[in-house]
Amino acid sequence: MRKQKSLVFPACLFLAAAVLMSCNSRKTAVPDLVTIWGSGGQEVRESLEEIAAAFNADSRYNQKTRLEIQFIVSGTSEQSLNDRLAAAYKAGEKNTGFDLLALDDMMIAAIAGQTGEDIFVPVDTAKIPNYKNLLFKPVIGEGIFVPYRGTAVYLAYNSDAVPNPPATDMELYQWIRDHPGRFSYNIPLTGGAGLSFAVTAIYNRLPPEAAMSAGAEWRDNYKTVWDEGIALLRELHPYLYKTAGKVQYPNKNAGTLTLLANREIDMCPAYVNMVLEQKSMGVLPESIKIVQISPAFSGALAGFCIPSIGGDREAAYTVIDYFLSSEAQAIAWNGMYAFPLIEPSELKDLKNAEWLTAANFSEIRYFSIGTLLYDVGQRWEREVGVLAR
Amino acid sequence: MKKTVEPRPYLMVFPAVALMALVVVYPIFDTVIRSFRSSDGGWSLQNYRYFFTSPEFWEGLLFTFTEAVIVMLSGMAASFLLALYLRFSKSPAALLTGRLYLLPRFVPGIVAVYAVMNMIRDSGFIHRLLLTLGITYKPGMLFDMKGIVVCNLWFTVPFATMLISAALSKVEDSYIESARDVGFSRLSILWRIILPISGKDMTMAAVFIVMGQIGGFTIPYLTGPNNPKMLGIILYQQAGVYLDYGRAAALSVLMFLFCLAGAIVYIRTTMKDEIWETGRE
Repeated sequence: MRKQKSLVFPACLFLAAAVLMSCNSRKTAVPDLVTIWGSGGQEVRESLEEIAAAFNADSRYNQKTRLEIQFIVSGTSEQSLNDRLAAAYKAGEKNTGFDLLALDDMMIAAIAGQTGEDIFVPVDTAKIPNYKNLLFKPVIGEGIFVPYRGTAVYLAYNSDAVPNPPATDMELYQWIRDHPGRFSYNIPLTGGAGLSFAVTAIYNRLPPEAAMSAGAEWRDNYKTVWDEGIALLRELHPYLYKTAGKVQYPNKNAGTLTLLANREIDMCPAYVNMVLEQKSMGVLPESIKIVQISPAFSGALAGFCIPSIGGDREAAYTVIDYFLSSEAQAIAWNGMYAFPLIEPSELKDLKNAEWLTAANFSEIRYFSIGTLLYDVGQRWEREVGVLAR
Repeated sequence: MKKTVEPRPYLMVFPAVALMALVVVYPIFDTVIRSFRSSDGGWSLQNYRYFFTSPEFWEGLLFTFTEAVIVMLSGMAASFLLALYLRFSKSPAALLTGRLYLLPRFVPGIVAVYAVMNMIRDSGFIHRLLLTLGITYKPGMLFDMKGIVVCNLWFTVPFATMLISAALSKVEDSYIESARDVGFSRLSILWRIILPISGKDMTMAAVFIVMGQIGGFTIPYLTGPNNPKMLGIILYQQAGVYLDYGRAAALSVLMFLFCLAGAIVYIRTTMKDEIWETGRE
């Protein structure tokens, strides 16, 4: 009995040591590793992983470094990537695994606000050969941000029910009043499409420079304008989609698209890439089309920033360069229908290329209002959301 | 005789206790402390005061408890009838049901909820089926308390049936037969024999059901109305939308206290010995 017991303990130690040693040896065998940290929807994760796999298989690039993706799918955890970055930054850590951050440009101000202005290092575009092919140079995050795909919120509509979609915001609001129950938008803080609708209701009345400022003065000195925007949303409330006898705002971008697919509504704001992806999967019927109104809903560029607490910068530039290559841009379109930022005619083997031309992605309405996004969302909850009962 | 302290039991229990202390006890203490902190770092009751003066909270509390009681009553009724059927019927259908009734619980939560949503939504299966018969009917169940209740019953009924079946297995056939010999009606057997024997376990099942509903999030989030909100949704909003962790902590403590009331009922019920049990020593 005693003999058996005395063997168990050393066996456990041996096992633990073997596991630890094998972990170590795996790390030292890889010469260089760049880790991209990202957060957002599942389709973004899959797209990044597809491009990473292509990178690791491309002999022009994989000799210099290997690429790995760490991703946090959005939802309640969206904040936690920013939290992790802030925690590492404030703890003064260096050479962490945050080599590259994949993010939407509107998140730059929010992250810098949580950490510090020097969280991102200036990007030396001379080290990125493909940078010159970019049709869209960054407006937000100039100098610290390299975009690789575009995203935008358009108006998605059922062309069978709506032969002539509205062309302007005022026409849209009037269409909503004329067609009660046939329009919906998601709760702003659960998805960017509904957030866009709420934000533009206010910001279409503010001077254009307000959209690029995170300053609190745009909220405090323009309170009457904000009140007017919220009043518009309250006025439109009774004309929205109803079920069980009352208005119901869906949760998340997907919630409104489900209603559109089921023909419970005829029109909603939606991310272009979500609509096209679902159309290609057959989840949305062919009759669903997208159109941009004027003034547009929001658009954004997604791309990379280089955190100052990351690792090898040269390897990071190599990775960014690949994302701007025609192969990677085509993978991004084919995978998640994200707008490519280089000349479309350069891209080969595009699926549903006619959708890209039809979307006519030529201008982006940028928003970089930092934490004011939360102010819009919270005012919406308190003054518009409460009406849904 | 000197009593030597044997360390081995403590060593064996230590990992589990340490883990519990780290991931359960410590966060609870941390949350309780955080709930008493004001936004400027001092001690204050402002977080609790917010909820006690918030109409949304009271509305949500009433909504949550109403929904919990409805799920409990309808779940218990359905489960009790099903358990009675499984216990006292010897038909092949009953034997088959006895093997299959737990299957719904093996379906992952979100999958089941989406399945039910696709049935009951205004453009769902029920609506489309009736449409083929020329009837336009929108159930109006989704995004309403009815939807939350129906989705919860998917998980509640198998679970409660399992508990009640275990309780009913304590009712021996001989009791029923003797009662019948003496001339008891079916209803009397139910009231005088079955319910007293299985009463404790049924109370336990009811308490579990109610306690589960108080903290419910997934089903209300997917199927519930925008207002009133269940407590789980209000908690999620405080943390995720308003980023007010002090208030989220306070609401967590309040929900914990509600569940504590349920736990007290549970413990007192199970600790209390029935008369016929005390006789057996």
